[in-house]
Amino acid sequence: MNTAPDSVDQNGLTDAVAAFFTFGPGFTTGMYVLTVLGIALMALSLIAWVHTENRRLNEAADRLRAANGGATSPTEG
Amino acid sequence: MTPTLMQAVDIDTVNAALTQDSKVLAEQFYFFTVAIMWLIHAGFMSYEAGVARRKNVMATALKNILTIAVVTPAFYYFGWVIYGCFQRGFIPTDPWGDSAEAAFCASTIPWGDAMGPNLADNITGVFWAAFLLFSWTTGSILSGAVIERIRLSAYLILAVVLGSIVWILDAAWGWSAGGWLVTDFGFHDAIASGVVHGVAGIFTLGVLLQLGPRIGKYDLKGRMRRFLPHNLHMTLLGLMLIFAGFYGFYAACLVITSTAFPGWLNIYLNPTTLSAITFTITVGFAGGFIGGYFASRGDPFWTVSGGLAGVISVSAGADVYAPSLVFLISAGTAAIVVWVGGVIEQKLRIDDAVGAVAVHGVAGFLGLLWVGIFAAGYPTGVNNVPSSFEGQLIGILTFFPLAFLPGYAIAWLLKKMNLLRVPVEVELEGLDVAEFGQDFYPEHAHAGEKIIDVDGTARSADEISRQAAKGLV
Repeated sequence: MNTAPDSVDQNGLTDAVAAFFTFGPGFTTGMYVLTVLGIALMALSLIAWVHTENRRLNEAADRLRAANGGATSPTEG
Repeated sequence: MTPTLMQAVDIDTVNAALTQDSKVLAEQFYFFTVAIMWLIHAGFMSYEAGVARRKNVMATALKNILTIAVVTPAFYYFGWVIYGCFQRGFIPTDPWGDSAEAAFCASTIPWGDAMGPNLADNITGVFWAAFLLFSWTTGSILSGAVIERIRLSAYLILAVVLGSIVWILDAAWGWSAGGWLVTDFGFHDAIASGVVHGVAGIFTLGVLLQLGPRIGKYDLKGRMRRFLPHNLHMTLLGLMLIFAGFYGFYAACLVITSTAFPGWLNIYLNPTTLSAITFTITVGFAGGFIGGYFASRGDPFWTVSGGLAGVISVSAGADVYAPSLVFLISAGTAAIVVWVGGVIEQKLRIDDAVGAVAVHGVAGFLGLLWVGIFAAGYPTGVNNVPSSFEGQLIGILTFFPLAFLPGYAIAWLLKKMNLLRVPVEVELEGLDVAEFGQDFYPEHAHAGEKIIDVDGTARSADEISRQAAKGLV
């Protein structure tokens, strides 16, 4: 059942935006696009987590090696 | 003329009102089981943070919280549709068919009608959320075992795979009315001994084999060191929260049918009652504590973990077991789990920080076996296929590789990419400083840690760090 606010008296652009982005019937272009964007955000956040943590841990390891008199190794994780 | 009450209220109106009332009751029921199940995750966080050494507290706690961040979207986009559409094996159901299975499959598609606000559907959202909470639980089971040396990002990837693919695929096969293990073999795992706990425990075993022990856990003379919890109160409170949350977990495993006798169905749509499973969970804890206490000779960790193992071991038959049988099985299984936990830690030298493989994996799979022995012949599923020892064995043989291989393979891949474990220097210093740039217990002095080296000598962590800097570790 469509719960989008299509019965509200709004201008055409607002109606179109709301119809696209809010959850009405399934299997619409809006739902496909939002699903793809959501999956992309999920995947990118995981990749970003890996990269961010890898950089942070390498920096910490380098700092600790240097403090203990060893050479830094930026590629080692 | 004013109509009388009987004339004004016809039977269709009453039916419609009852149907609507029943739907809203079901909606509320699952909503509140979800709220109660959050306690499980508060408990896992508290338990694991308490078990961790003080230098790793925040890294451990945040790992638990971020399980929610990554498993939730993954389960929305992938997990639920796996449950809905893969009940017959690896080939998905056609969502456009005419059958009830097809309709359920279509309802799980994330861009479909049911997966969002829909005035005609009170149930999908809350039912999806209940399953999501089970998914978080699988991640939390893994989380505790790997603390103090796994990378946060590696854990999150593994939690997504376990929580949104692995466990839910086995649930589709063996924890649904239409699953092939149920319809073809009468497989019976009413409250998820195997499909949640067993599978998560064995997945964890695969990861641990690749991850390796914490530095200083074992030496070459065969000795091992036990890392004591930095905060025992936090650990025990966490376990009690998990136990409280388990009541929500148990309740959420039932299907409420308030307008039809006896008011409740198990996950296979066979009649049961909330009262029946309440006997089981409560007596199961009691038996588990007893078994854990005596088998471990009063060890606090294994006593409390024994309670958890006890409940897990009776969950598969929770809808049919007599309470006295529950008492015996839970006490016996908890004792076995204590023994297996010792073998895993001391003989196999696998560093499972919270005993997850034994408590969840072993108790979970034993729970499946107990149904085959003690509840064989009990009709399971809409076709009333009798449960049997053979059927349970087929389930075990299906789930074990399904759980172990992905954990082992993905952890192997991450290890090859040098993305599984933190650098040795970071492990020695503690994860909190490296991950968050600060010590979260600044008022407590950071005592120099003694590490038992592989040759059995006790050395300071700083000394090992200096060696690591020179490439000698």
